[in-house]
Amino acid sequence: MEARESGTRLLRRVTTWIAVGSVAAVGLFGAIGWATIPGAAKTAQAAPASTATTPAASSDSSDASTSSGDETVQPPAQAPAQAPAASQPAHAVSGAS
Amino acid sequence: MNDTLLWYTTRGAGAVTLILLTASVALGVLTTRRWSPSGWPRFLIAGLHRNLALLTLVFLGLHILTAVVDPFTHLGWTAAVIPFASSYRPVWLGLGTIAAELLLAVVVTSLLRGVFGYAAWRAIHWLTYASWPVALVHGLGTGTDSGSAWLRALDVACLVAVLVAAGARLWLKPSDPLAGARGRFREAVERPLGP
Repeated sequence: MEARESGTRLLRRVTTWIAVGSVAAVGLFGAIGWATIPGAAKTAQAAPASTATTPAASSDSSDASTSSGDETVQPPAQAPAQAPAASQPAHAVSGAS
Repeated sequence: MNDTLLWYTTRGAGAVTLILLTASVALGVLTTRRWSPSGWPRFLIAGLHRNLALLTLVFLGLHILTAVVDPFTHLGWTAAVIPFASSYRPVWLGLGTIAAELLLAVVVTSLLRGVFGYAAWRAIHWLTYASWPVALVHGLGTGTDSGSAWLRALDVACLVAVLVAAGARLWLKPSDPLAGARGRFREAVERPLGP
């Protein structure tokens, strides 16, 4: 009888630990999913990554001295950036032709 | 609640549900051979099998609830109840619905075993053998990261666990010397009386 009661206590303890571990595993698997799903982690990192790369991008297009970081990332912003470079199309056109 | 949190909770709860279901199935398969590790009497293994099945239901409920409530997926309760009614990946989600309903039937009839009787309970309990692989296939095909390495590894580990348990059931001799006699007695009791 004593053995049965101690066994039941052991079962209850093991079940509790499995339940706690399962809750922790939900969080762990969710975190792994967040880290591995393409686009999920990238989306979260997109903002700092873009600000980190934009200075380099803007330095490449050093002509666009007035552009802020976000403008160089956006394609529509690059188009106007080439518009001021229209002062130099003479080189481009002559080079092309 | 944050949509992103719901999305990842659905994924995490689904993975945990598969692990718990696998553990419950493997233990259930092994207990039919009256197997138990040293220091663990058989009634504890049977109790752990039952508790694992109940925990599976809890995390399955969390998996379904977060998937339905998540506004990004737009699944709705219809897809959670009626198989193949979802507009999003209807086949894979439909398999999940079938697996969930089979599992629910198994657990409910196990809890009400005294009402249904042993023969009906045993017949319905065999549905577990259908529920587990359907749940595994649901996990293989559903979700954005179903093809990721860690989920594939988890699926393979679950598959190996059940195959090992099934192999042990087939090839190991029962530890109970009276198993044959018990089986014959059970068959004789369950056999309908002839005219």
